[in-house]
This record gives sequence, structure tokens and C-alpha cells, in this order.
Amino acid sequence: MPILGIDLGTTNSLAGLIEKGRPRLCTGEDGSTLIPSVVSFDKDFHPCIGIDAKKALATESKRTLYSVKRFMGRGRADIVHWEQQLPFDLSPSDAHMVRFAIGEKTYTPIEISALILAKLKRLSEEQFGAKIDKAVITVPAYFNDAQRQATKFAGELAGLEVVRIINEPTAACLAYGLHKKATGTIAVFDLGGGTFDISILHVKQGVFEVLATNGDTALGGDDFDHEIALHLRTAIVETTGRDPWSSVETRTALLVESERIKRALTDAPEVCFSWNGFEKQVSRQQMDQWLVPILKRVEGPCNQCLSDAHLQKQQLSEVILVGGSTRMPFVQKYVRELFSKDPINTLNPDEVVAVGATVQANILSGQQGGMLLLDVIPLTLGIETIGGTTSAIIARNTTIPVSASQQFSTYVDGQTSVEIHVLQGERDLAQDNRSLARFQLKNLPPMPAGIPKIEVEFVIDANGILSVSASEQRSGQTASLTVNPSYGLSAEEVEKMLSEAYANAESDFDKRFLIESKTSGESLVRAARKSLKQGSHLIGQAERDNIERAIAELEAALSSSSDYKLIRKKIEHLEQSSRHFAELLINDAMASALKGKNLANPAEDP
Amino acid sequence: MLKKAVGVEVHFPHSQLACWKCRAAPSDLPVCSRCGAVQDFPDGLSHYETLGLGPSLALNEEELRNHYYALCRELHPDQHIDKESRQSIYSLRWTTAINKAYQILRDPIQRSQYVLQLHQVDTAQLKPALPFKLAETYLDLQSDGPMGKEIFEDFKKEMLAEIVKNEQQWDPIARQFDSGVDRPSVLRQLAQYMANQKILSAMANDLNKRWKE
Repeated sequence: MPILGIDLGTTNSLAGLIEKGRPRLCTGEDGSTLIPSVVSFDKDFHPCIGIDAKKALATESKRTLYSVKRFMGRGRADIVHWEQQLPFDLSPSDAHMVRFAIGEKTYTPIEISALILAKLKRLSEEQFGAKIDKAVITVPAYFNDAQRQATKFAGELAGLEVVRIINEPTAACLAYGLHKKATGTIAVFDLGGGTFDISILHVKQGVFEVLATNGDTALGGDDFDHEIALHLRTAIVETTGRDPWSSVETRTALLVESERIKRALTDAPEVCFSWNGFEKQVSRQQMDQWLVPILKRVEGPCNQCLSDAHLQKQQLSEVILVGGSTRMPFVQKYVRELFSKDPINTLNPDEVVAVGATVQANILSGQQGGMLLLDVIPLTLGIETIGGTTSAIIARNTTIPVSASQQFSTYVDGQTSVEIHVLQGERDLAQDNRSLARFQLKNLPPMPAGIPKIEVEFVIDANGILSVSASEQRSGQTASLTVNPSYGLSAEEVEKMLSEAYANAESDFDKRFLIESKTSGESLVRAARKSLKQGSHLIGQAERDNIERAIAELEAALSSSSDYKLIRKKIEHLEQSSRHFAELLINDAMASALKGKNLANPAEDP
Repeated sequence: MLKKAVGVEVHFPHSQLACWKCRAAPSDLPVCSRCGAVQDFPDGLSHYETLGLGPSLALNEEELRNHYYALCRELHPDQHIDKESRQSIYSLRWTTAINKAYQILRDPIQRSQYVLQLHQVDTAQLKPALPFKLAETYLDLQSDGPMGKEIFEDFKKEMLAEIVKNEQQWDPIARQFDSGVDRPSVLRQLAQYMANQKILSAMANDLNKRWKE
């Protein structure tokens, strides 16, 4: 069974696998490999996902969720500064996990992402003709542990075992390496819809070693759109006195329009912006000026990344551009100046991450010999020590799998237990870092302060899963856990979510397909019967019998089966059986038309 | 088998145990040369032994990297996913140890510290030997108020020159270490080098911080 490679993006999602050595991505209803990461709910709360949901953005802004990736693994407190920008509502309850409020229901970012993943799964199963229950999913390199676990959990809800979480810039590098036998020191500059990553890799003889990685998980094309919208809003307010920010619909519409302008200015030097009678010319130069302060935010992470990799920018052999936002001429120019190098953008920046995911999926299937990925942890791991400081145990950019330990002791005479508080981040104070987990080492025999020898060991496996264990040498007491943050949910809630998701996802989707397939099947039967009636003189008995048999089989499936896959099969079978007949019918109809005669009288009933 | 697959010179110790799969004894490490099964990672291997290297101080970093990549290609858990779970576990243990060994040995400073540790040389007692004038200027700058830019730039140049001069000591020491000749004396020199290097980088860091203020 193949493993699916998935790019779960802020703006668009893609999925695929390697077939006969070449990457192949599934397509949505519009034939594009990009499936918008948008989910819209109708009044009965049936979800619509992808291109059709995107159409509902401006009209149903309160029931349409987008850029949900920005909320993964985040609590309400984390998003306070951009909460104002959102057209949809957040539920007032949760401190640990953001919840979207739609009508009287609430949804978590994980559930929404799961819907998107389930759609990708379904499209891929249909188009590649194989059952899929495993996947490799990409995340921004700078995602912390909570954000990664949230992504994994979303996969599980969608019915996928996530065998690996892989970093997006690394995936892009794999795609580039597949495309061109790469060797050298490569920087990947990944600016997508919501996140920015910079990674530096060393590639040689099929080994892709990540040297360092850095980024900003809240910086991307969405911020460009927002900045443009703010400038346009000012112009509108000054000229017309009306404020587009005053209603959710107009605010969203302005954001959508700003995105359109941004993309149009990639190819044209100037575009016209019109809004309810107000008109303004916007030039590319002007827009670039507006966006400079936002793009400047990439400099810090880029310099830090070079420093962590112990490299000067001259030592890089290539800079690869990834992510839709790198299409903008202004971003390309900025990168060229920042690295004193012409960046490479020969691969489709929208597809390259997904292609990389398919490569890693292939490696993990044992099908891609000769390629190996050595990745790193992006953020320092440590524990809280006396005074509320963080003691680092594994430094950021350490290659995984890895294990490391440190010795600690007690600070109070007679202390019989210690709390191990696991943290992730670069700050000195524990409160400024991300809390991953807490556990206790109990039943220590009372000893004077400073005497116990407590060894804390961190182990990260090849999948990036962290296990922490603690032991006191003198007494032999031990305690351990595998870090599995539940972001504020109890174990019961998590289990309930999982089982509900499996039940609902399957039945909701199956129900919809069944309806769709039955409708197509029924109209095909009607059309086939009609054609046979009118054109049977064009074909022989054997062919006629064949077609009749196919019609009968389809009718049987339609009336008795609730398996949409069977119905689809029978539809295909009938279409195949009558293909030759259909051609003859068309030729005959044309010939008759030319003679002034028609094959079928529209007055006759089918 | 590993030697051929890896394509580089490797010297791994033998295991104390027989191969768990084909019973060949004593088993090779990390991979049985008869049946190709990955063996468990034994306790007590040094970083050098973990990488199948001789205990050299003057390692060429490019060669070391190629060596590391070759080992990863053979032993990384991703290459053993569809094997018996025992091989998956053993390959994970080997790769974890290899990553740690590579992290220490690839950096000349950490490698030197490790070598001193292996030879149980006590570095705590050593006094760093710096040019008197340099130490004097540094102490003066510490006690005065804000320093003038010119004085600072001059001192910084001197410091950098001293750091470079010290760094150049390392190469001949490393090569002498590898030759095995007069080991005790070489170890003393190495320890002295490390003490000097430590104080110089501490001074440089301190100056950078002060200048930023």
C-alpha cells in the first residue's frame, strides 16, 4: 500500500505519490493540483472543502474558514495580536486551543485540517486507484512540538497514520534533489501564505543533511494582503468616508481584492483598484514600498540560520525559492540582495513541497534507494530549574535521532519528589518558552539538599518524538513519559473526538458520493436507453446485447446498492461498452443534419 | 560487508556476542558480515569506535563528513523500516550514538576536549598563558569607564591576532598527537592550548557584549 505525501498548506493543500519514478499529484474539481485549504459549512453544517468553499469566502464569511494552519497548536493567548483581522468568529471559551464558532457549533483547527486531509485522501484514492491509510505530512520547519502534534492528530482524525512529519524547506530540497542530482550547500527560502522558513542543507551523494533552520511561523503572504488592504482602506475612508472595516463582509471582500491586486502586480506594473465607485491606480512600486517593513522581518531568521550553520553567505552554492509569495518580483529581488546570489525558482513553488513529501514517502516505503534525509530539531529542548530558568539539554539544530542527559539535584533538605517541566524554546526564563509536558519523580528517600543525583535523559527518535526519563542514582527511583501534549483536552475528550471523526467522516462523505453517483447513473441509463431506441440499426446484435447487459448491471447497482464505488464501476463499464455506438450515433446525426433530417424528434419522449 | 557498502576505511571493534540472527561468533559490528543483520549497539564504545575510526586528533573535516554520510546510508532507521523490529531498534541505537559521536568529533575544540577526557588529563589546574601586555590592557579596560572607540578597535585587533596565533598552535599539536611520539608532553601542550583558547574566547565574548552596550 503506498504512502501518500501531503503538503497541508495555509492557502492550498496538495497530495500525491511517486509513480514509476515520477511524482504525481491528485487534482481537485477544477483540475488543479492546488486544493484550497478552505472549508465552508452550509446551514445543516455539511462541510464543503476546496475550490467550492473558496467561492463562499466573500459571501459566507462567517461560515467559511481559511488559513486555519495559522491556528494549529495555538491557544487564544497566542493569537491576540491578529485576532482582529479575522472575518470568522472565535469561541470565547478556550485558553489552550482556539475554537471557531459557526452558528451554535464550534470546531477546532485540528478538525478543520482533518476535513482537508480527508478530502486529499479521498481524491488520491480515486485518482490513483489504491487504498491509502498512511501519509507523510509537511509542516513549517519552525513549527514547535504542539503544532506538529496537532498536525499528526489531524491526520489521525482523517483516517491516516502519519508515519513522518517532515519540514517544508527540507521537502523542497528533496524535490530539487530529485529533479537535479544536487551537491553542495543549499539554502531554502520558503515564504508561503502564513509561514516563513529558512533552512540550510548540505547535499552529497544522496544524503540531505540539514545544518540549521529558522523562521517565523506567523509571517507570510496573508500579511502582505492585510497590509495592502490597510492602505486601500485608508484611501477609501479618506475619499468616501465609508470604512470597509466596519462589516465582516466588506472587510473580507477587501482582503480578497487585495490578494487579487498583489497577484496581478506580479505580471503588470500597474492595476486599477475599484470599490463601489471609488477608483485608484495601484502601481507595483507603490505596493513594494508598503510591503518592505513586513518582508524585512525575514532578515533576522536568515542571519541567525547562517550563524548556526557556521557559514558565511558566500559559502552557499544555491538559494532555492519555495512558496507562492516568492513569485513576487519584489521578494525575488530582496532575496537576491540578501544572499548576493541569483535564487533558483525552476520548480513550481506551489508544488515543490508536495513533491518533496512524495519523495520522503517513497523513501519510507523502501522504494527510493540512494536518498536519505537527516533532519534536525528546530528549537532547543530543556527543563525548568531553580529560579524559573531553562536548562538546555538538546540544542536547536541537533541532528536526530539524538539522546542527551544532564544531572540535577534537589534544593531543599528532605525533598522527596522533583517535578520535571519539559520546555521548548531559546529563552532563558521558563515562562517565555513553550511548555511541552510536566511529570514527577516521586518516592525519593529524604536526603540533604544537593545530595541526590537526578539524571534526566531526553531521547528523540527518527520521527521527532520526544521521550523523557528521570532517575535518581542512589535510590534507583525512575519515572518517564513520551511527550504527547493534549493542548488542554482531557484523554476522554481526545478519544471522543477521534471516534466521532471516524464515524462522521466516513458516513458524511459516503452519503454525498452515493447521491452524486446515483444521479449520474440514473441519467446515463436514461440516455443509453434513448440512444438504443433510436439508433440500434447502426450496430449489430452482439454489441446491442453487450450494451443492454451493461445497462441492466448499472440499474441493479442503482436500486440495490449503497456502495458508491460499485455504482461508479458500473457507470464506467456502461460508458465503455457504448463508446463505439456513441461515435456512430454522432456521425449519423451529423450526416442526417446535413441532409436536413434529424435522428431524434425532440417531441418524442426518451 | 559494511566496509564494502560504506566505501570508506572502517575499524569497528568486534562484539562480545554472537550474531542474533545467524549465530556467527564473534559477531562483527555494526553489521554481521555473514548475514547483514544490524547488531545491537554495545555499551562502552568511545566516539571514535562508534564511527569506526582510529583515535586521531587531526581529522580532515571533509573526509569525516563523507565517512559519517556513508555510515548513515547504511545504518539510519529509515533504511531499515521494513526489516524485523529488532533491526529497526538496533539501527536507531547505532544512529543515535553515531550522531552524538559526529557532533563531538567534527568540531576541533570539542574533539580536543574529548581526547583530553579520554586520557584523563585534568585541565582545571592549568593557568592560561597570555602575553602580559594584552592581559594588562584588558584589565585596564575593565576598570575604566566607557572606552573610547579607537582604544577599543585597537585592542580588538590585538585580541583577534592573538586568537589566530593561538589557533595556529593546534595543527602541529594534533599531528604530533597522531604520531604517538612523546604522548605525555603533547597532552600537556594540548591542555595548555585549550586553557588559552578558553580565556581568549571568553574575553572576546565579553568585549562584544560591552561594545553592544
